[in-house]
Amino acid sequence: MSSAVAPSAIGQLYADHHHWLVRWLQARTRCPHWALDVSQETFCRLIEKGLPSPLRDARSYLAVVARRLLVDDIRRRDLEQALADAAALLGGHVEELTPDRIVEAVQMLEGLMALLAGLPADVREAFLLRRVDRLGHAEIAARLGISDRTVKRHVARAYTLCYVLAFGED
Amino acid sequence: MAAGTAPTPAMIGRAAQWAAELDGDDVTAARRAACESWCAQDARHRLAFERMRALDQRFADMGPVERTALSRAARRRAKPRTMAAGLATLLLLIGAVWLAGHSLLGRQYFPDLRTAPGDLRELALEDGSRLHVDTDTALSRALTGDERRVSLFRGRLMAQVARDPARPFVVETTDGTATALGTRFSVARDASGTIVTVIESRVRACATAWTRQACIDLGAGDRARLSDGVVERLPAVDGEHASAWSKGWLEADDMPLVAVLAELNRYRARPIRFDPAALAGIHITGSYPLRESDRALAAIAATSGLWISQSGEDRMISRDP
Repeated sequence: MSSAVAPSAIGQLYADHHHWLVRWLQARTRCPHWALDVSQETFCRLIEKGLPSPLRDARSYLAVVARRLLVDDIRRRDLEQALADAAALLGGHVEELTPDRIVEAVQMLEGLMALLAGLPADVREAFLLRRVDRLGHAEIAARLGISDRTVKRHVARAYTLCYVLAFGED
Repeated sequence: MAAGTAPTPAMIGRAAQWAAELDGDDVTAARRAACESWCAQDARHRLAFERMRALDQRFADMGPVERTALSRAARRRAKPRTMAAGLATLLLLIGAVWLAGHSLLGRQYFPDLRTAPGDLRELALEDGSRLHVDTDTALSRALTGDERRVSLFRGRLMAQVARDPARPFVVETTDGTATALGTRFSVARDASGTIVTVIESRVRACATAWTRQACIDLGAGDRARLSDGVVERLPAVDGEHASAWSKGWLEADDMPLVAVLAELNRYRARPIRFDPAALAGIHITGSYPLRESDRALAAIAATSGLWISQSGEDRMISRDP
């Protein structure tokens, strides 16, 4: 269980392991600024969420939190890049990407990507063609070389998996 | 979720088949009717089916840039070319699945509970806590071994928290969180952010944004607004007064009439019509039933010497007939 932590506990953790964590992150990001940022964020996260008690292995716990933040960061950068590419691709037909709009769009895309990521590849492709590219079932069947029935089965499976991801099966 | 209200796995599977069938190219009226009668059989059938249609809506609402970006990003990850890319993809997938299970972003498409205008509900949770859910509100809830969490997407709730020091009780919105250190508090979402009001005991309110985070501890009567990663303390209120809505009452204490009418309108499918400029300056004091806003309106008119004109469900209040 986690609970509010005395600032001094975090302070001690910071003093003992901060340098180690930055080095650990540097080995993975190959960028000193990025490593510092993520390390800073890691300790902020611990202040916010609290430490598990008892904390058996501080360094492996720090590494778990830092790795998760790093993955969030990579995903966000990726989506920002995808948005910029899409805007360039669509050229003058769309309104410009403002910073506010990028933040909002990245948040929305993160949520949808999270749902899509839980789907098997063939189901995801059928679902993307249907929901994102807006093709009809017959077109999807022709494109993927599968039957209409299979398209329907893939779409149904996508609904089920998204549902279970969001709610569990309780 | 309470036993009996959650769709079973079999129902989820059937709802998915219906959603896929109705998503097809040529759907006959007879099949639509058959789906509707399946939904009408059981509230859980309808809930599962509507959650799936809500997912469609999320995709349908996307703009062209977002749509193109999603199409590219989702496919890029589906086809890793090298070992390194494969590993990165795996990490991304693990992260993404973790996000779907834990983040508001993933869950907001499927609220567990939605109240209509005029609907005020009291909900008993498995842990003994109670939620008072206000008009026009959407929320989800999750009780796990080490935490009790309610996600508020829209509207207002008041939590009466059962004591359990081992499992914190957290209400989260996209603006931040309110964590119960004690017993009774309310959380409301509006355009300005999230308002946390403490009725009894203590609550920790935290505002979160992309780059900022701030927390504050609130005691009985304290209020704070969370928005953009900033916590702003608001003037304190009388806790009992502030929670009257959860018992179905609007407590007005020398409150501008225009504000009272705006509050009553949140509970009505058809708003009371009035001219704010003409009614400005009138203040009223009294207790008004939120569920019977016609009665409330009649009482207000009687005590302040105003006129009500009505035709069918429409009501209008004015100084002159």
